[in-house]
Amino acid sequence: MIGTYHIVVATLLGIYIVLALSLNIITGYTGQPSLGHAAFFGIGAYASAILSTKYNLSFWVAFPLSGFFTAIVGSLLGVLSLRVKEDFLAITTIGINFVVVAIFLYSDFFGGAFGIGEIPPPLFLGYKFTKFAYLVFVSGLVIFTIWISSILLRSWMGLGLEAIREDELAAETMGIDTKKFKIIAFTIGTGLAGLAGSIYAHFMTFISPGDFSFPLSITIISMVVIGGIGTIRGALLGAIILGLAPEIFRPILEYRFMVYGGLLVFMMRFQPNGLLGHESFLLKKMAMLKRTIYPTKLMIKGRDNDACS
Amino acid sequence: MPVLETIKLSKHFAGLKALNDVNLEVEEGEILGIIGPNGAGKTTLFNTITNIYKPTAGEVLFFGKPIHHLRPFEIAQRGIGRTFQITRLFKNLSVWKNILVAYGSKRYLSLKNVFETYQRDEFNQEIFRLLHQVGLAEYKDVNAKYLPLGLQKRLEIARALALNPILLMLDEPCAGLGYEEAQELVNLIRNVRGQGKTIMLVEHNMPVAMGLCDRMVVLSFGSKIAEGKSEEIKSDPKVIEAYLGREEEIA
Repeated sequence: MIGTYHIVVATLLGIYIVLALSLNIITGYTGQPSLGHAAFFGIGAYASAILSTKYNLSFWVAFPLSGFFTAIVGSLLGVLSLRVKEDFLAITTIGINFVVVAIFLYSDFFGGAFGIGEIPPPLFLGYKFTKFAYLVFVSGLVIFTIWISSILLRSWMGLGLEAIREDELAAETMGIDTKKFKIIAFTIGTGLAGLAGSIYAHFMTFISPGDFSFPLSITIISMVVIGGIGTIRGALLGAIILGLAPEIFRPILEYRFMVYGGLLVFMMRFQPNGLLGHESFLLKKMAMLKRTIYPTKLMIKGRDNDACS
Repeated sequence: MPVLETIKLSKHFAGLKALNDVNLEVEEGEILGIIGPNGAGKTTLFNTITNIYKPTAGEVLFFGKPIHHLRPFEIAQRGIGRTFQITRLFKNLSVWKNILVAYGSKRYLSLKNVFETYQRDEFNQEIFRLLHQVGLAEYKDVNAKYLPLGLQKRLEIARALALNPILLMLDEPCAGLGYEEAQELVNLIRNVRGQGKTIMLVEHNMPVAMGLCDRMVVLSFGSKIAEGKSEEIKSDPKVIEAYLGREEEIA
């Protein structure tokens, strides 16, 4: 039987998927480490919560606005990434996460430690969103994010981002405006996280700073890495595995982060490309299986076998 | 008008004069060799021309127009393609995609084109032709990091060619290669020149440089000490001195 519980879990899972896919654009495609993605999720959530509680804006206005606002803040991080690189960028993004949470926590405007409650549900044709309606809406957002991700991967933009990930200087000498491209990647990635934050705030009806703290950022990056960084299928799988894990392993909820950490170390050591990343063990096995089942297909070798879905 | 001209180009690193008032001209269709002992500033010259290093003083003119204030990507867009002494390929991308990145250079400029797909047959055909020309067609799906060094060097030249540059700057294309691989690369470079490209190259290996270049510029300690036809350079006492040291010093 599918009950409310399942719908709630599926909706949160969808939000995780959007977060993983959006971080994948920044870290997977463009190679810019971000350990503060939860901050942008939070900025979107708070923006939407404030717009709809303090300014009485409808969700349908607050939702795009909060995505837009988060994208602007994210583009500032993109500007920062032009100067601060690699490990230093990773540390800076951790700092940004803490600063954003601290602002939510210590400012009365953001409700302080109590957060913001009574966030109204979206109205659709005059009716309040049911749990199921949230699930439908989040599914739409997931599809939108997958669509954006795949358009990026197949476009010159995405190719440029991949080139930047591989070698920024070489990409620049190939005529790519690496500064602009990096800022665009941050803008798109954080904007999508902001949209996820907006629907999250309305779905939960109550948000507090703790929802967007550093451990969530670690969870999101773990999803991307464990699933297979730089690929859509990887981010999807990672988000599903780590999104469902706390539900399945309720008894060990306390040890969740130990398990995530352990998984991360294990993956880094044995499968740095993730479960479904490029040249991963699973993919090779699947390719072998495919070859034994359809031996003739071997001859038709896809040119873009690393353009992923 | 020369394709490229540097006027009193200087690059200092905290007092070290890596380049000091270097004047040189690259004429259309020629292969100009930049030679000199280790640390003479050859790679610095390349990096300063492509503005990876900002010049301390001086000018770089491309067809008479200053380019030293442009960003490296803009210089690439103007028509200067380059390779690196230690190859800088997109290691985890296929040979195909490595070329594609450069091939798309004109499409990165406007936000309208940049979100279009690169999976189009017309692009594929052109890239396939280029891969054939450099002898990399059979490796098109291999990730660049798996290629042996000789093919990596080849791929880097091919990638620079895919920009369709007017001037091709090659930084030690034969460094680290065996005799045969180096010969193959020399033939490739001759081929490229045959297509009307102007080439500027840094080379350490004197026989290779002598065989390949029409003209040479000799750098030593950041300054130009000689310039001329390859045969003249060989017997220039200043050049011999730079490479081997002064006779008095030896004695």
